[in-house]
Amino acid sequence: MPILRDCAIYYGGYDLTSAANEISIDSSFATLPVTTFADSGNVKNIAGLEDATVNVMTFLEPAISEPAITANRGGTIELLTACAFPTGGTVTAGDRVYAIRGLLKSFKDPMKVGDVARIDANLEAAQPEGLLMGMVLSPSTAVSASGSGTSVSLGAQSATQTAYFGIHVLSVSGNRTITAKLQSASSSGFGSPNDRVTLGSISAIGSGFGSSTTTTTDANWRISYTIGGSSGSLTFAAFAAIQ
Amino acid sequence: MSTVAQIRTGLVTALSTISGLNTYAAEPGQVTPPAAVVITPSIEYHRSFNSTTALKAYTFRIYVLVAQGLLDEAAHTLDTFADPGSSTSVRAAIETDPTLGGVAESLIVESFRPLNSEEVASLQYWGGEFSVTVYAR
Repeated sequence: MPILRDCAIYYGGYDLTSAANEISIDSSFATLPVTTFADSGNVKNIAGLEDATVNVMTFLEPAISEPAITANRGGTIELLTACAFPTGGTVTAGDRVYAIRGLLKSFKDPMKVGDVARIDANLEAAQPEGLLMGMVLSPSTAVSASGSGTSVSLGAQSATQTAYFGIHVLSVSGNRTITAKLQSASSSGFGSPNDRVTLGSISAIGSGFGSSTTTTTDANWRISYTIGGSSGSLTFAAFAAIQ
Repeated sequence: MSTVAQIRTGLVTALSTISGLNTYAAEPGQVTPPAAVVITPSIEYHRSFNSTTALKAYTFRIYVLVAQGLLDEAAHTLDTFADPGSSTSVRAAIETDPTLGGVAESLIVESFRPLNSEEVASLQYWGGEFSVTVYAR
């Protein structure tokens, strides 16, 4: 029974982790009644559309949570990733994540004299993939050279599944850029990696997201990244999900 | 991240701007009144996610001791320390820089109360207690 201490929360290009103290990820399915005369007098339902929402409660940090939330007013759809139970308190490749490309449905800025300023956000799933449950490919990492992340065992991708890949670029200094790829391989050594999703180059804080419907028996997945530019560094975090 | 000692030093530095007030960063054996003594705080950890950089709430008690007995002058002196608008206001001195020189995220002087007779008998000084909540990482 984990005690929540270190949930990492990324929203677009902002790391909300140290500003947030509560996050709630809610998923629900519409129940559609399909009871017939043959059902022995019992109600029968099937699952309808899934609705997923995320509520994030944060302290109002002028450089983090306030711009992260208010910048997405007006219908912006932005990627939010939450690492639920970091291994040993430190976010590690392979840890479980929830991710959502959410519409900022509402936010609250409660103000009470003497209280710490807060700003809370409510996001609603706004893209066809809905709520994703996947794994961390890379915790928040500062880089200045190209490389790849740790292999994680996300499993094979069947014909009915899609592989999703998301990245949060949390800081950029100098003129660094990142081009990130999701790769799979049959062995964790990645002797012959297969490129599965390639995102466009990112040169400022923000996020990237892509998917692939190509099936594979490869069970091992990782991020591979090419760092461009000649000075500074770049901090990113990435995840993948198959569902 | 800030240490308790850094925050305590920040409070003492703020208090030392009050003319005539002797300040103590720890519980001393004996004080020279009028004096302000910053007591080891109670701490609420994990006010935000991330064990390393989580926000913490420190509640400091600051005793302001004005005399070894209740005299008219002592009561008047204590009034001025408690008065938020006076030139020797403890609240004003502490809240002037809510970051305490950069070691805190913010702070608030929550309350003041005069010491009761039992506390005065125990401490041997007349005075009051300020409660200060400091938020720091």
